[in-house]
Amino acid sequence: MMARSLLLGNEAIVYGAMRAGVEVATTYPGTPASEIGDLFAKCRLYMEYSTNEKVALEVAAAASLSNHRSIVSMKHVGLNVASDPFMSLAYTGIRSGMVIVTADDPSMHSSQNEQDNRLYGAMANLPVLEPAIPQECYDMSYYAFDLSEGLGLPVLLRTTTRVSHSRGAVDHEDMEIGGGETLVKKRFERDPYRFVMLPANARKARLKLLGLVSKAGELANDSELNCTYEVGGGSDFGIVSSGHPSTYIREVLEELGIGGRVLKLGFTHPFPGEVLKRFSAGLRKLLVIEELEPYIETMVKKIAHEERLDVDIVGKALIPHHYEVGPDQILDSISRFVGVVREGPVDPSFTIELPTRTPVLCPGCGHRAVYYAVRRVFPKAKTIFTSDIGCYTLGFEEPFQTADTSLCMGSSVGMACGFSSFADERVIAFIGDSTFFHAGLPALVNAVHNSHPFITIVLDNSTTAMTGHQPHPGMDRDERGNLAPAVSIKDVAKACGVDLVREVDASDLGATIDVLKEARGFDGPSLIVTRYPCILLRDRERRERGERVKRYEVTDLCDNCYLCTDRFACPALIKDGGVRVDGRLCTGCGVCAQICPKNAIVEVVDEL
Amino acid sequence: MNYNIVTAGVGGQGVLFLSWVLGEAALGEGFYPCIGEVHGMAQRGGTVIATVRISDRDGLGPLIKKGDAHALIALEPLEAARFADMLSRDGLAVVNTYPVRIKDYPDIQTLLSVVERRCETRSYDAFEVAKKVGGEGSANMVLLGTLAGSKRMPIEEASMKAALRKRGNAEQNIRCFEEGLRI
Ligand code: SF4
Ligand code: SF4
Repeated sequence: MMARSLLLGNEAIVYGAMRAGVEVATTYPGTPASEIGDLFAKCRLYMEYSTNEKVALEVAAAASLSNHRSIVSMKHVGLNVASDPFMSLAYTGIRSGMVIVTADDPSMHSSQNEQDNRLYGAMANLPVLEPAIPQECYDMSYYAFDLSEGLGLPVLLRTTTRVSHSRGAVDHEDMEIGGGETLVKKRFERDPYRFVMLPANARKARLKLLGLVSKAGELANDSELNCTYEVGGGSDFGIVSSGHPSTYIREVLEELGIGGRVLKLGFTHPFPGEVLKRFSAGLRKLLVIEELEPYIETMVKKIAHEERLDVDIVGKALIPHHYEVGPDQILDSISRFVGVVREGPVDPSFTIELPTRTPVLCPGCGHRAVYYAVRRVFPKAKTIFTSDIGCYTLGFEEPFQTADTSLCMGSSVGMACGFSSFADERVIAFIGDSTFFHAGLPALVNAVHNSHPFITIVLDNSTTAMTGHQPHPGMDRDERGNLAPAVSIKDVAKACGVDLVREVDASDLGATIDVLKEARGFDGPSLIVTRYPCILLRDRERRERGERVKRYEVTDLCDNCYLCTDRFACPALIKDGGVRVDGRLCTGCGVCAQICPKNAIVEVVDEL
Repeated sequence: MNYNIVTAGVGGQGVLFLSWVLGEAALGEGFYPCIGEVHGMAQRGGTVIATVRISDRDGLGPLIKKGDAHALIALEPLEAARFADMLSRDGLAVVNTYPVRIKDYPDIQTLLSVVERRCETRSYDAFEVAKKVGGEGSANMVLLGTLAGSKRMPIEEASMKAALRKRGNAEQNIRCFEEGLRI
């Protein structure tokens, strides 16, 4: 029985995997992959949010070796963290089907870089599947398990933001995927010569892997995921494409009224060379349309060279190397390639200069008060602020500007180690609670052992907020909302040997300032946990309980000094010829009332 | 047949729900909807845009070329102006006039004129309308109602109501949707 549902690409991946009988799913949340874990957490299988992507991949690998089909999902940069086990797992191979989902983020909608993880597949010699629409997410996720098991290799399922976050019609097996945690223990058959990567074993494994690559290449050449179609009549013009950009090609050709032969690739590594040879017969012009790196283009040019094909091949010379490639860019590049002259912009629209609306800390986020306090105690000109990945990267914006660096998960603490020793300024590292566990911890240990004197501020909102509120090791709940042992950041820091460890309510301005002053006078690594639960979550809970929220207003005592709007900048404080509180945005945290020097902001007391 | 709708606003205003209702309703009528969403960083008070494409053909990508949108539903005037050039000249814009202010926020009338000079525009304070029928949180449904009431979309009111019934707060949402139909 089949059913049709409106599914997000990420949800379709879960449906496909459940259809394939996946038993273990692991992840560390990261946009644009997060919804995969979110849905698995409601499914009938074993699911865990692991501390980071490396651990998640290792847990999923062990599941596969003990005969459970497993899937691990992460954002593109997550695979950098997991790249160590990833590369060697290609050598050992796996047992039950294992799928590694990487969701790349062209245009960097929510990331620090854009990287093309198809190249990881090529580097590790592992098969890569590239879905373009939610239906293909379902189909390829299902197929990937068989492919993986057949080859004895993990399979890389590579999406991009526009695939993961597209919602479309998906025909799927009509099945109930929801349910509680289920797990059946099975036997792990030992095979140390295969699974222990001593150099002697690894050398043999390398040869075996290369043999499997050519077997995978045959499968790619026979795969229905690589298909050809024609638009219009006979033409010597061809297009090779994959992933999200491939979805616009038919429309654009039709709009331009030109014919062409199209090769749409879904199984892209090992590259299906035979398919390309058949496809390119008789073509004179070939355009490669792909996002980010010229992976397909390079392969096509290599084959054309080896086969001495007389065809003009163009890729990145016309298709942007950066950002997403959508219908506007495709229309433009095809017209230029085939020499269609399009009318210029005869229809320039009337427009004005518009301010960009950059993301900000939410109204009532307690951690805004921490930035405010830090800027009160530490002069910006004499302090280096290392920041990290998460909501608190938003401290970058005015008026706080408490981010001088932010590289990757955990880098705030690692770089603070360096700056505190090599730069002649005080250093403060900002990191979130989930990120602290993910990659901050090894750097903190480093700070203690190598005596790097700086302050680490852990902005603890008791969740992984930016990616949609997933749990982490510091919380007392697991992915299914059951009680779980919480690892205390404060205790961990003490156990690491950090001498000054403090914890403070982030929305208590006076207390936060006192603790910061104490740390300022301390020589050596110190750590402050500022606690305030994510206001988005708390607001939702309060609304569900029908609780009344405190309301604040600005009284006549206000003398328009604009300290609250300019230096504290809660989005609920509106400056229009004076200051007022926007009741639709205010969450009643009360921090602005602590800040106003005139005590002009007061709680509204309802009359009985 | 292709019908392209842009929904835009600020994180937390219900842009994604709006696009979901359109998609689910289109699916209910046997079309192939495709929605491009934005998650993550942009949802923290940033600009949020979702593109909805409704087609009788499978396999379409979610993005809409500049000038190819048949309709725009904007929950906020600045965001309406930002995406006005996605609209085709014979398109329709339905715009909430209540602003979510930021630094250097332009004059609201100027913002509306950017949209009005692009194509036919219906603008009003959707919060006020929603409040009247008891659901300020459903301002997005009022605007959806207005687009539906224009009879330009290939999907029926009944399908949209059926979609709304699948999610929480259905009664309030439908009330607001119906109120919008009349505007
Ligand atoms: S109480 Fe003040 S600081 Fe807190 S959310 Fe309301 S306006 Fe913003
Ligand atoms: S800080 Fe107080 S006095 Fe100054 S503008 Fe804000 S409300 Fe008015």
